[in-house]
Amino acid sequence: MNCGRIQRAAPSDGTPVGNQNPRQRLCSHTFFLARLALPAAVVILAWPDTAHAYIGPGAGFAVGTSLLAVFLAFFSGLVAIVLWPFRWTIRAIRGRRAHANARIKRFVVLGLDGMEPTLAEKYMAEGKMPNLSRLKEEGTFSRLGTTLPPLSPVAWSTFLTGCNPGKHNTFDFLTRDKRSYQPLLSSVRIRGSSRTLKLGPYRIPIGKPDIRLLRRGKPFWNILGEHGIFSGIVRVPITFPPEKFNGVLLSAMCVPDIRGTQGTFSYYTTRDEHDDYISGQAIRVQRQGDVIQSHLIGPENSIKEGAGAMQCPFQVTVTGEGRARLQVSGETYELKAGGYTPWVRVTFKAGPGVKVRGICEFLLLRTEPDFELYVTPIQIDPNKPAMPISHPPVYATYLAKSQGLYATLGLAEDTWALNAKILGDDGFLHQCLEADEERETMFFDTLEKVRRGTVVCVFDGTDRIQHMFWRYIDPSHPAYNGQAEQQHRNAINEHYERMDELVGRTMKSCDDDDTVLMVVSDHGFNSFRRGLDVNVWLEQNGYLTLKPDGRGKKYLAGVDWSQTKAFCLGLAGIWLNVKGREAHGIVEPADADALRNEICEKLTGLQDEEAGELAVSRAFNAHRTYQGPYAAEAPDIIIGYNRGYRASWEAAVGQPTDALFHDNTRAWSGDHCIDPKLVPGVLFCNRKIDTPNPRLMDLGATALELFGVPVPPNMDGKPLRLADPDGTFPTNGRAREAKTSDAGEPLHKEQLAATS
Amino acid sequence: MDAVNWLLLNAGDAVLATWSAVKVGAAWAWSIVDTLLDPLLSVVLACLNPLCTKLGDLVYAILSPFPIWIGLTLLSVAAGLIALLAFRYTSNQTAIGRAKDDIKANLLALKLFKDELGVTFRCQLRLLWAIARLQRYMLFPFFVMLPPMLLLLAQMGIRHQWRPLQPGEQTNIELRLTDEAPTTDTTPTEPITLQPNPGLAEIVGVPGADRTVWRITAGSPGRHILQFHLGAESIEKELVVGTEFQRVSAIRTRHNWGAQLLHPAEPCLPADATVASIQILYPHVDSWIHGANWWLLSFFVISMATALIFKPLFNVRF
Repeated sequence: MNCGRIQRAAPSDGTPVGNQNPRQRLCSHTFFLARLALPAAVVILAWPDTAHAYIGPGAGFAVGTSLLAVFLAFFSGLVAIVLWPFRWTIRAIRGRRAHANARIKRFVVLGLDGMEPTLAEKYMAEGKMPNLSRLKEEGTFSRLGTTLPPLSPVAWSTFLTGCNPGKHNTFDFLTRDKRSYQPLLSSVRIRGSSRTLKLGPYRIPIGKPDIRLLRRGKPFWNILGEHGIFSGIVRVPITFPPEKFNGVLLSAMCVPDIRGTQGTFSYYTTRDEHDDYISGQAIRVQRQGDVIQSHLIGPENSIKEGAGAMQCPFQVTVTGEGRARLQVSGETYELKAGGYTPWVRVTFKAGPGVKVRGICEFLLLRTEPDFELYVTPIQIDPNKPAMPISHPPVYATYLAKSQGLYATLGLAEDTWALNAKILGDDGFLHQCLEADEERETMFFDTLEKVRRGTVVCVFDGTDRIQHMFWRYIDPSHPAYNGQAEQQHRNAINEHYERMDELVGRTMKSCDDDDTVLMVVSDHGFNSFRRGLDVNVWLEQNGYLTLKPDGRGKKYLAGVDWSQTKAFCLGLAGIWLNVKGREAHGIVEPADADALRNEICEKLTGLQDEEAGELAVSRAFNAHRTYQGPYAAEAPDIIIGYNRGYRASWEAAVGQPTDALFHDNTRAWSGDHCIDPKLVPGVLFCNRKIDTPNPRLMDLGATALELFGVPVPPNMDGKPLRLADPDGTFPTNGRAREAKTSDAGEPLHKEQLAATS
Repeated sequence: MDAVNWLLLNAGDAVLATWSAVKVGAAWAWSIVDTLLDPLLSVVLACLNPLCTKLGDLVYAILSPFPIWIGLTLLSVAAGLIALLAFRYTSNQTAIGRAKDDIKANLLALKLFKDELGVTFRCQLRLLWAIARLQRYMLFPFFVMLPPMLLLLAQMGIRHQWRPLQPGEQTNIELRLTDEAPTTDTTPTEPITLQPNPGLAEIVGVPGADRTVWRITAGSPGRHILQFHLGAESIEKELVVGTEFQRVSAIRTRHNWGAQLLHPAEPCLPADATVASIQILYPHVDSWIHGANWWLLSFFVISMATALIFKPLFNVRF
């Protein structure tokens, strides 16, 4: 404006200074500054330019970001439009014309981990699950054959590979180290970088850490991807570390916390005495006036020699009874007893410029008479993951940016803290519901983004809540103890209803003829009242010998290997101490099969004399059960427990006790690691299925068949026969007749032979 | 169909005409805003400018032992830090964080789901919406930081944009009359004179119908007050001669808040004066770092860099 006024003046006749026309110079100066002086806000905001720099770096940077974002948006959009025909052509030329032979546009699997068919039927009959009832009436409801053993890592591995465990190498959560007999995670191995550069006290790792997926076999979405079909896979167990494929994937079960464990909670207290906790750590703190200072414990400092675990200091100031203020990583949070903080980002400094970032939640338990604070396991920050938890790696960041921070730990719900009575029912339930809410947001975002292809999402709440709240629905459970009036006696029922609402919302977003929706569970559920100490049984039957002071020692430390033929570690079964395989093996390989059969025979029909019940339905010789290149890696004997029984807590960690059976008085009161015929999963589908006795392992093959992709010959699962939207079954031969085993039974070697 | 053809044929003219109309409309809107703001802001600036100039003199006196570019750097760093903190406490950091996260999420979605054209378009729309939201959250801190930043920049401008005349150096002084001033076709009815002054070694006047230009040669160093006479009316204007780095006031204009803001070193001419402005065409400061126009770029770069460096320390999102 000012410039305009000056321009109206007559031009100067004088000689320009510095060879410039004075009018021009005056105009340029004034115009230059006029842009500052007359910042018509509307003009500036509507026309972002360098003027923003004048009002502060923040605004300038924001405008820069915005312009960059706008540019990137249009550029990427343009590229997508321009390249789409080329991509389509390339796929066609390479014989991968996505969807060319597909019967459907989209295949959606909603996994409800551990949904029990009998409970589902009961709640449907009571009218509490109208959406699943509708799915049953309009499509299919059936029991779904699970795996042997019916454990989530095994079952979901079978689901995604379509193979029996002998081909995917996952038989339990744990396996044993053949040299040390120590437990190892069965699906993943994480090792730091083997080479380091030493600089004074610092060791700079050269190369990446070795994170290796031990699960074998190819997920069906990888095969679909090879044929151009895109998939969105959210929190399906045993997908860590993520594999490359055509799609997006967020890993789940077996993703560690930042300490590298499967979840270690922290419990800060001024109490003098506290227990040793499984998967938890108690830290005694001092209260000085109203102030408590302590630190979060991070991973080992691998950069600085001898530095120990990294720490992140925090301070809690008690502001009243049941109230406090938390200061950590530069942020302040108000705490109220019984209420969680939101996800808090915490930073651990390893060395100059090297940081590890994590997220956790704080729960103030009480301030009086003792101060008690619970902190969830510190999880990998999805904004800046310390290790890959998604494919592509930015997918985890994308989810964090679009919906906020979320639990990344494989087993996000802290069952150990509830078992140890650090957490109450409310505190645990909060974690389950929060994790499911986060997942629902991811799931529906994926449904919105993936309009053609496969979407699979697994919700864990059903499994965790049934594990921990079964004691409220089983009056004969040792932990029941007259607690039927407790607030959470309907926790399982209510959660089934929540899941039914989720199914309703999913059906709404899949309400088209081209989408096949399946709601599945990997196994069912039952009560866990009594635990069998398998090592004691082996000892009583002469298969295991303890050292003189060996009783009660964890992780098989008390076992005399020179006189032990078999031992138990983990939930699934029994290992033989085979010469040449185990470090101190004594069983001749030639005698092993006979020994397996002998133990199976003795275990089958084992009675719990004290309770007067059958404890073991069947025991399986694993080498005759599984088929595939990894069958030899399985536990030698898999125990099929009867309802109400499972391996005892002590047997799972290799800690022989002095009693064969133990009452289970822990909150962890429901389980599914029993005879698979007793805990089949569920299968709901929005289409009619006329294949009898469908199995979890058939779903991958079904997905391939629906998209017109050939089912690989090494896949054990067979496509289910699905009706077209009009209710008729295709007769063109594309849907092959499934070859299945008996109702709900896992696939056995003999059966495989019979069906092939 | 004829209408469509007509539109197609005249599309260029239509665009130009629309743009002209927008410009006219914007000018009209601004004139209204200007008229409304002027009475208040003129008074405020008349009070603030002497204080700011004194403060500026003090700050530059403190910085005087350093080379000019170091002074500019220190000032830019301080401004960047203060602006950063001001932004931290005047903006809705949570909302800004959300908007930025949305921008990043949608950019990532464009990369992740590039095969789905529908998703691409939806993400672009959401991206634009997130950008609009981010701009909206910038408004309040923008308006809070605007006045002090403009006052600071005006003070810097009168020091870094122009340099004083050196003794013996020639330039022009231009006096413009208002539209209401009585003139003949070629000269003002009243003679306009510039009084001799120690700061002026030589004066040659060239009268015109609505402005008079003097060709002058700078005299002795120092701050000199030039006296202009137009009939009975007497007007003053500061002239700075010297070789050192110091502030200069290039122009003195009539009462207007915009002019007051940009030229804070001298008070405005009286509202009833027949003189519209007096301008001395000082030479530009010649430096690629702190010279004319470059000083602003340096200020921008250094203050931005400071803000970016200290952003994590103060936990600021922008």
